[in-house]
Amino acid sequence: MTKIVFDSDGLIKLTKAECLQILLEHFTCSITKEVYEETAIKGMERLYDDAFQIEELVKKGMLNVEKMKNNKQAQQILKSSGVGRGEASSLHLYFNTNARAIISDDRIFLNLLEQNNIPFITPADLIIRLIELNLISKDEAVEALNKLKPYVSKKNYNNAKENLED
Amino acid sequence: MEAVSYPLRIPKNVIDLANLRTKEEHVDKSTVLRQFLYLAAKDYVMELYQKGRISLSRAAELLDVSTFDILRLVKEQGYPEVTVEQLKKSKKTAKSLTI
Repeated sequence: MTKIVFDSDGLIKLTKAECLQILLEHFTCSITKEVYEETAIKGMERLYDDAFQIEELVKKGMLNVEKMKNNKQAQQILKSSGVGRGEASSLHLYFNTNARAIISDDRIFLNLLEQNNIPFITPADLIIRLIELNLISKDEAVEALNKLKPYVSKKNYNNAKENLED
Repeated sequence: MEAVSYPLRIPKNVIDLANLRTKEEHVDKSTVLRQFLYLAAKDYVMELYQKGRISLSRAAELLDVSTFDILRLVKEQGYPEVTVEQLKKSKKTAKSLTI
C-alpha cells in the first residue's frame, strides 16, 4: 500500500472531515510520536472529541505511530526553519520511510516542502483524490469539504470545490 | 508549565487595571498580571502563525497547548492562505497517488 505521512494539521483536518477512516483502510498512514502527543495526548487532556477518535485508531493499529529517527537530509532542510517538533519529525519520517507524500495544509511547512521539492497534498486535495479513486462518492466529498471549510482558507476551499466540479 | 521569576517594571495604569480586575473577578494581582502577559503572548503567537512565520506545531509548543487549541483559535480569525503554486503542486501530487 502507498505510504503517506500526516503532520498535526493534516491529521486534525481529515479527522474533522471524517475521511481519516477511509484513508487508513486504503493507505499506510503514519504519524510520528511528536504528532501523536500534540494531537491525541494533549487534545484528550483538553477533551477534544477528535483527539479520542485519533487515539482509538491508534489503539486499533490502523494509524501507525512511529518513533523519529534522525535523517541527515531532513536535518539540513530544517536548519533555521520556523516549524515545530511535529512538522520537523514528520519530515524525518518522510525521508526514513520513503513515503509518497506529506499531508499538510500548514503554510510555513508547505513553503519548506515546496522549496525542497518534497511532495505534499493538502487535506482538501486528498478528499478530491478519494473520489477519483472511487473510494467515496461526490456527495460524500461535498459533505467532507463542508466539514473542512471552517478550518481551511477560502482560497483552498474554493479551489477544492472547483476541482470537484471538473 | 515551568515558571521563572523575572524582575519587571510595570506601568502604573496596568497595575490600576490589575487592581480593578482583582476586585471584579476575585483573583490575586499576580494571577491577573500573569493572565495579561499570557493574553498578549497568545495574540502575538497567533499573529505569527497567521502571517505564516511559524507552523501549527510551533505555535502549540510556544503556548504549551494542543494543536487543536490553535486551530480553534484561528478558526475565529481565518486561516493563513497557501499560494496558488502550492495548490497546483498539491493537486499534481494528489493525482499521482494510487492505492
